Amino acid sequence: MALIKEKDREKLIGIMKIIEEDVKIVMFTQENECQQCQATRGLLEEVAALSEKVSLEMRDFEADAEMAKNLGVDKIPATLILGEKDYGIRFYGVPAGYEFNVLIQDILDVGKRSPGLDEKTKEVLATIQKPVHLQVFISPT
Amino acid sequence: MANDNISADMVSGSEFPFLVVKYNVSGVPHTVVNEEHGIAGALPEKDFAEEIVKAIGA
Repeated sequence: MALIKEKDREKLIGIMKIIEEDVKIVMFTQENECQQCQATRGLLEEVAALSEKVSLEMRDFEADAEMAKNLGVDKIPATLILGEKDYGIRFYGVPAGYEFNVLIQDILDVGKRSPGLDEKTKEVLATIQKPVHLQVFISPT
Repeated sequence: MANDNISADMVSGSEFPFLVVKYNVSGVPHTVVNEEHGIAGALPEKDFAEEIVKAIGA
């Protein structure tokens, strides 16, 4: 059964036409998939099918442990949104409910190679000269 | 994306309860900056950016 409703699917296909550059989604799961990993994979497979600019690469948290380590992935399900480089965008847990909107917005931003932020916000962020790791906790909706 | 120094994770609290305990998260959204500073709630984006700068003492 499709996780994305037909009506939403059509709308998303239209929205994703603004994607200019390739977006690569990398997901880390494991051989014996947990329920949340299955749900995440199912959702991402449907998302990747919405645009030919969006691809999905599946990785195994154990078999690809070194890659996971290099990408800073320490738990699963992990979803990474990459462009021609790693922007440090990660989702841990199922990107469903309200987080699905965030997932789509991040894909669009990476596809445009431009964050959808105000100029004022960008000015503030540009002053940061040391590594900053943000972990935004949310509750599933 | 605005600054290569910044990485951002979304963490689902229900799937990673040990992190909720570790970072003392009592409501959502809750943002942990560099493992030690907490920003509770949602803020307008510019205010949020300023809170991050304040948290790291840049």
